[in-house]
Amino acid sequence: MILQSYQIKIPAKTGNLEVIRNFLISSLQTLKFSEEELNKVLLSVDEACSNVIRHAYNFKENQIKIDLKIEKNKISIFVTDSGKGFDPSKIETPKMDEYLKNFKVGGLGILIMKKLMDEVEYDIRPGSQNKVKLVKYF
Amino acid sequence: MNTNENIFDGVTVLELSGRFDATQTRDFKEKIHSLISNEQVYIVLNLKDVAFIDSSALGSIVACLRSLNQANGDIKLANLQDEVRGIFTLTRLSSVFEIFDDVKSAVNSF
Repeated sequence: MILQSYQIKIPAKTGNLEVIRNFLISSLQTLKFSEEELNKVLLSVDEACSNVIRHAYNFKENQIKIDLKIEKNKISIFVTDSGKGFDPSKIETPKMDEYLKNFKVGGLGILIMKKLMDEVEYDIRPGSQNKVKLVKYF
Repeated sequence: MNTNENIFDGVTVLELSGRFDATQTRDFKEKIHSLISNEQVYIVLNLKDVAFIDSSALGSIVACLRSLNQANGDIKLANLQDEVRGIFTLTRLSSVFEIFDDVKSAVNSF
């Protein structure tokens, strides 16, 4: 059962990452998250939003929507865009040995989200609606 | 993010403060390439006042390390807050960079 629900819809640009962060801090302040757990959520959402700005919209300004749903024992955050999608089945966790050996740049965001959140799911409909779901239990 | 620059014993110490995310990566890379152009290729990043870092920022530091290595230089990190250090450990980038507890140790390591 959803106890609380919050939403923000704003232009997808890097300058708004801090706005999104402050929206989450404000919305989550009544929960008993430790600072460490809160920071994991903030960083994961930052990564999801950065991916939208960079990959879905290629830095062209468009809208991004963040929905936060609070249940008894978990929070779910949905990051939604209408940009270029991707095939979730082709998303691989970066092979860090190769990454480090070649000083490859990029791809770390997915690794960080998967490590910091309890669940990461994708619902991709290119050009229509792409959604990343991030879940953290508490 | 604010940046202060000082030179100690030929080593450039960049003090960053605030959030280090996708908003700041372009300025950061331009700063490093400006230093490389001035032949300042030994760099210490003082991250004492950086409480938040994301993958875009990590990627920009890795890119700068690659550029500095090509110029026979290096970049070392100092004063990482626990959260930031945790991200370096999580991504295993802690094995790529030399990380020091204070700026003096980082400067002396060159």
